[in-house]
Amino acid sequence: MYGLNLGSVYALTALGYTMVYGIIRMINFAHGDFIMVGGFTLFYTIPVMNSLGLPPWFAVFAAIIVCVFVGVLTEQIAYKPVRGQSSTTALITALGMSLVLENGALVLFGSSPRNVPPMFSLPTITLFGASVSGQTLLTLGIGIIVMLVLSLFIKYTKLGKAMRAVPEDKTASTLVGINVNKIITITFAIGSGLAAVASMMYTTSYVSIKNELGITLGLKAFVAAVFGGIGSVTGAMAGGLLLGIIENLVKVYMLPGAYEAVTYMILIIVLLVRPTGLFGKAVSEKV
Amino acid sequence: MKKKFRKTAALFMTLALTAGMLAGCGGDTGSGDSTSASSGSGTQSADSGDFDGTILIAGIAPLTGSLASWGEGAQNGYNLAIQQVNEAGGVEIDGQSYQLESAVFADDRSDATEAVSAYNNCVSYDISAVIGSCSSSCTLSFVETAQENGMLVITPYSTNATICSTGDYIFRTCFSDADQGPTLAQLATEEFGATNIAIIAAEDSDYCAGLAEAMEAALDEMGVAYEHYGCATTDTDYTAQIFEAINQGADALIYPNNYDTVPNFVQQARDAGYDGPILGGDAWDGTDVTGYEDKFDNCYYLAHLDLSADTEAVQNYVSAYEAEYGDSGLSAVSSLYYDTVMMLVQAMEEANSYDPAVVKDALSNITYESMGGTITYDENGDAVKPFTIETFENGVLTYYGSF
Repeated sequence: MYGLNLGSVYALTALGYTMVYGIIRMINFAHGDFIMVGGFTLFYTIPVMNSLGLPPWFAVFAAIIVCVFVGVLTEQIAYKPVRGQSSTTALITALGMSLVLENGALVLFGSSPRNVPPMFSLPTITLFGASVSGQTLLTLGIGIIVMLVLSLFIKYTKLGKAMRAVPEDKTASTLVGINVNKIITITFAIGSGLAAVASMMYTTSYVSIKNELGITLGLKAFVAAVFGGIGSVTGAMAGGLLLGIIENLVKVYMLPGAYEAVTYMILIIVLLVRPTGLFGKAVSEKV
Repeated sequence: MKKKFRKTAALFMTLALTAGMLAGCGGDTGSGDSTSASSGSGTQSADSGDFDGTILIAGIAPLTGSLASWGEGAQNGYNLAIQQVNEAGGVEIDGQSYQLESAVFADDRSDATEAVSAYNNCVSYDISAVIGSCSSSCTLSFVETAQENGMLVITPYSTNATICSTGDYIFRTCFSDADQGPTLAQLATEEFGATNIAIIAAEDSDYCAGLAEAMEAALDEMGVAYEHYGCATTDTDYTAQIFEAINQGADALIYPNNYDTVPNFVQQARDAGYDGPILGGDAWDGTDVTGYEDKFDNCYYLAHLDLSADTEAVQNYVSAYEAEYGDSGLSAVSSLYYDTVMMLVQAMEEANSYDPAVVKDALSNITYESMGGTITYDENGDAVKPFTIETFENGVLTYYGSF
C-alpha cells in the first residue's frame, strides 16, 4: 500500500476543499496555500515549543491560529465583496488569492526550501506482512477522526444545521434567522483550521517546504475532492486515499515521469462520466 | 458610497499592478551598481591619456523559484569576482587595462522558457560573454542560439553531457555528466562494493535524466545489476520507489536529483528502514540538513570542490565571500560562478582580446587553476577536472575523498 501516506495527506487537504465547497459552493483554490502558511508557521514555532519544553507537535495550535486568521482575513478581504456575483468571479478571485499568498510568502520567507523540524518519532509497523510507517497511520487516523467529527458536527449541531441550510437557499436561511455571513466566516475558519492540521501531517512526511508547495498539493487535493464527490466529507477521504494509491501505482509500474497526466485524466473522466464523483449526491440546480 | 469605494479600490489595484510590473522589470537587472550599461563595450575616450574602456559581461542564474538558493550564491560569486578583477587593475588587453562590468544578472527561475528571455535580455547589451545558467534544461534552451550568433557562453554549473557539443562557443566550468555518470557508478561499486543498485531519477529534467543515463551505461559496461525508478522534479513522495528498492535488495541508492528534494528523499529512505549508502550528483550541493542530521549519515555526493579545504585559494575565497555577503548562499555554485569569471578574464588576457570569436580559441587551450583543481578543455569544450566526494558527519559537510 505505497500510496497510503500520500493519499491520506491528499485526503486531509481535500476535506478542507470539500468543507468550503459544501457550504458556500465555492472552490477555494487558495486552500493549498493555507497549508503552506501552516507549514511555515510550524517551521518557526516548533523550535519555540522545543525551547519551552513542550512537545513539538503543540506547534500545530499556533499553526491553527495563524491559518484561521489568514483564512478568515482572505474571506473578508477577497471573497466577501464578490459573494453576490457569479461563481466564475469567485473562482478567479480564489486563484488570485492563491497567487497573492504564494508570492507574499516568497517576499517574506524567500524561495529556498526549509526543513520543518521533526515532530513525531514513530516506528514503522508491520501490518499483514506489509510495513507501514507510523506517520502514515497517524495521518490516516487523524483524517478519519476529522472526517467523523465533521460529519457529526454538520449533521447534529445547530451550527452544522445552519451550515447545511445556507447552500440550499440563502434568502430563506436569512428569513429563518440564520446569519449567513457569520456562517460563511465560520466555515472558512474551520476549513483553514483543517489546513493547519493537514500541514502538520504534510510536513511530518515531507519535511522540506517552500512557498510553492501549495500549488501541486492544492490541485491534487482538488482532483481528490472531485473524485470522491465534491461537497461530501466521506468522498473527500475516499477520493484522497484512492488518488494517492493510483498515483503511486502508475508511478512505479507505468509512467514514472508522466504519472501526473493520469491524475488529471482522472479529473477529466470523472467530470465527463460522473460529475458528482463517487459519493456525491446528484442535486438538481434550482433555476 | 459603496460604489465609490469600489472605484477607489479598482484604481488602487491598477496602480499596484502597474507598480508590480515596473518592479518586476527592475528586479531582472540584477544588483545595484552593476546595472549600468551606459559606457558600452570597450569604448575608448577621445583623449588617450585617460582611458576608460570597459568590458561588459552578463550572468544568468535562478534567483527565484525552486533552485533559488543556488542563484543567490551564484550572483554573489559572480559579483565578487568582478569586484576583485577591477580592484586588481582590471583586464589587461594590449597593454591597456579595461574595467570589467556586469551588464545584467538575469533570473531564469530554473525554467527553460524563462531562460530564453533571460538570455535575450543579456544579449540586448553589447556583451562579450554570458555566464550561466545553473539547470541544464535552462542552459540547453539558449546555447543553440548563442552558437549561431557567435556569443560566448560559459556555464558554471550545467553538467548535461550534450551542452558543449552544441558548438565551439559553448564552454563549462563544471564537469560533464558524461564523466560524472561513470564516476558515480565507480563510487558506488568500488568504494561501497554495491552489486545491486537502485537509481531514482527525475525524468522531467535534462540534468537528472542525462546523469542517470550516463551512469546506467557505465553500470551496463561493468556488468553491475541495477534497477531504474522514475520520479518527477516536483515530487515529494518517494516511498513507493524506496520500498521497491528495498524489496529488490538494493545495497546502494543513487538519487541524482536537485538539492531541494534531497531532505524528503533521505528522510523517507531512512524511515523506511534503509541504512545503506545514498549517493547523489553535484546537484546535491546546497542541501539543507537542519533537524535531520542523523539521517544524513552514510550519504555521499560528487562535488566540484570542498569548501572546507585548507588550500589557499578556497580559504581566500570563503573569507572574501563571508566578508562581503555573510555565509548565505556560500556553496560550490557560488565558487563556480566566481571561477568562471576569473577564467574568462584569464582567457581574455591570453587572447589579448574581448571579442568572443578570439576568446573562444584561447579558452579551448586554457589551463586554469580553479578552486576545485586544474581545468583544461577537451575537443568538445567539456572541462576536464577532478571530482571531490563530500559526505555528512553529524550534518556537517565533510570531505570524503576525490577521484
